[in-house]
Amino acid sequence: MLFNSFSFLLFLGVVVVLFFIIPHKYRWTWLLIASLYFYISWSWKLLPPLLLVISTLVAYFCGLGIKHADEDQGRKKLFLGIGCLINLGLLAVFKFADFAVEQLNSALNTSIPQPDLFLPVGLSFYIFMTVTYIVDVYRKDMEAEPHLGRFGLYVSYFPKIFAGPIERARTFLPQLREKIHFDQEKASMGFYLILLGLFKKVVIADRIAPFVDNVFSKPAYAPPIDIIIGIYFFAFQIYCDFSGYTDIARGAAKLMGFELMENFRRPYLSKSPSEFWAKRWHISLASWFRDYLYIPLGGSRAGVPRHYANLMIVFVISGLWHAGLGYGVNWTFMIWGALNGFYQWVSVGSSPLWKKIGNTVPFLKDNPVINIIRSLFTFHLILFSWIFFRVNSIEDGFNMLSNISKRAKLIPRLLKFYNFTPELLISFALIGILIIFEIIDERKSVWERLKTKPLAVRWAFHYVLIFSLIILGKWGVQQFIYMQF
Amino acid sequence: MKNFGIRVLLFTVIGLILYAGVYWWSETLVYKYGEENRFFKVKDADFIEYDYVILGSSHAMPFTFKDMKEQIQQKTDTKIINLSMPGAGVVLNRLIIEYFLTRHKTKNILYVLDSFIFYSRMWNEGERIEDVDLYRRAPFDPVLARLLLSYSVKRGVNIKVALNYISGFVKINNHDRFKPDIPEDEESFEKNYEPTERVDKERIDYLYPEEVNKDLFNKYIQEFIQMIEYLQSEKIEVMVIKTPLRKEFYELIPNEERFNNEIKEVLDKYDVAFYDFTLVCNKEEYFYNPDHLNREGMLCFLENHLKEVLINHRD
Repeated sequence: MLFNSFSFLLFLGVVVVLFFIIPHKYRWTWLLIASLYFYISWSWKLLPPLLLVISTLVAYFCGLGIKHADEDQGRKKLFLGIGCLINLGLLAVFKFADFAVEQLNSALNTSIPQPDLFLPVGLSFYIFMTVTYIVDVYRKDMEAEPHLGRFGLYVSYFPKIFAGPIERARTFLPQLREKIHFDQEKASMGFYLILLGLFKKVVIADRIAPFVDNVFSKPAYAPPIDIIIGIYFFAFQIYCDFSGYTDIARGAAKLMGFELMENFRRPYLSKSPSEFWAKRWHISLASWFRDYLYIPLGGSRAGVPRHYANLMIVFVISGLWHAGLGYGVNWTFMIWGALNGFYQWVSVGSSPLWKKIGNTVPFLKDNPVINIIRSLFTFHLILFSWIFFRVNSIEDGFNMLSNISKRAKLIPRLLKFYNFTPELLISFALIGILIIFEIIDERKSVWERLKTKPLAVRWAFHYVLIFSLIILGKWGVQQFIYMQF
Repeated sequence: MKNFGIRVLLFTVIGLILYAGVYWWSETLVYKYGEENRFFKVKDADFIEYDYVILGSSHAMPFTFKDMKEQIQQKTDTKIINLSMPGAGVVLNRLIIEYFLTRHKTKNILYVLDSFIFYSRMWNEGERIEDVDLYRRAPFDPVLARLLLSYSVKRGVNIKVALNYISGFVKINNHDRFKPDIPEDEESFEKNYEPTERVDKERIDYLYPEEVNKDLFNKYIQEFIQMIEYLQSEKIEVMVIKTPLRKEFYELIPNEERFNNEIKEVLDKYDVAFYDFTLVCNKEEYFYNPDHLNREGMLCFLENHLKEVLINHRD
């Protein structure tokens, strides 16, 4: 059952209505049953729910173990180690076993058979959640959860099980204990978020996906204009796909009165790569890496060389985590991670210089024109890195770049004769609408703006979204990209 | 809470009214641009009674490409309607003919047979009859709606198909709503195919499964028999033909001899005429792709073989 399917909308409606009918003390049971059904209905295989249960039980009992170890540091560390090792081990095995065997075979010229393990949907996300919980209990950032059912629900809650946000137990579990009453304001916002997420996914992302797939499937033969459009389209495809998923997840949770963390804040308006990663793109993952990897490594306080090394380590590991994202497991993700690590180096290294320039020439500070230039520059840096995120091999990536650069001079002429099909023009228009929407939203949230408008305007806005979905949406075509790892 | 409930209700009612408006707009577009969609063709057909309804899959489609329909009608003095569709198996053809017979009559059915349709769900109730594209240009007709619902109940076709059609969503959401409704292949009808082994092989791999599932095969043979029985009970004469294929292509088809023997046995039992034209008019230059006749091939086939069959069975 996908978010972009009629069956999900039906399922969600039933779950929400019954959630508010059922007495508070049984609600967790209802949501847990619904979540497990939602998860199992994805493939009806035994392994994915089995792994989910194993990961949940390991985290739950390790949490209790840490709690009952009192001040015995050795025992606490033992439970921490066991919990992290089993969970991260599962992730490593299911994600990288085939790739590791393939690399081994190619390096040693052997023919060890590949284990052919399939990656259960959502594994990366719930493993990160269970590891977060164990570490937080160890650090005493939260109390261990005594209720297995509620803890199980934290891990498997259906709006976030497939692709996050990577919710922290310390913010989610307390919500499960609260008695929630139906809140019109939250429900309306939830509905708005679901519509917005669906619009991003089925109207924009899935519309441009075939063009992107076509270009990236044979980059050596694609015309340079197609390659350029394909790269730009991919930037918007992955954004609309992933942030669309998050919007639907947050909206669905809000209908039931739950808050999930914001995962995207208009990332392509970032003024620097640091801002992109720290505050705007896949925030739940970026903050996870910050709290559970970057800071434990010493962050920026362990001297300049360590600071730079830590940045690079975080981004390369992030690249590794992204490997397998529907585009196979290969070294391209390492390049993508390293490239973004390099951007961080330049960002951090040049930051004092920019401050100095800002202080010397105050006119340049917060100048709208300069800000636009900075945003465009940042967007194109990120765009460049997306090439290595999406290509099927490093060779393909360089083929694309050389294909563009070799014919760079011809591009204006090629553009003149390029066949801009109606489908392409509609896609450009929709992306344009999205950018305008994001710019308006950046100044003041569109939802906040809508709230002050008359009812007719608010409803008209919702009808426009609904009928765009019905008339322009590409339904039931593609699953969400981030569900694939 | 009560106010909120009333608002939700009002929002839904206005939404439904708007939906009805969009539905009406989509329906007018279906009538404006509809042409080759088989359900549209049935609803929009010129005559009440025909001499021949052509059924089958894509190999029957060139029979009415460009001016071929007029040529066949003129040379055989018959009224024909071609309801064949690419990749259409027995189940889909049964649906089409049942729908046709609710509005029209025919004396004969010319079934253009291919063995691959008996080997996979893909060409039958699986992906074929449930393909939403089939219904994007199908005008709303309560008779078809009822038929689709009965296919859901009796034949296990996904209920979504009927709901999609009845709700009109499939038409409202048609991304090709302004495009003319012409089969893609019709543009290639005048072309010549330069045979390549690789393309031939790819085509065979696409059409035929690696292994034959005997149960599935028997199931579709039974469906075929039931269709013949149904048509004969409606006093319609059925004849079955196989269209020309290049020798190289024909030889790549797996188990074709065995299939021919089995189907002949079935057809003999039901007194259905069977004409195997596989190896006539099959020069390389008679095809626009590995296995479909182009204009030249179609004319050769019409003049030398098809004309006679159609005239002989006409009355």
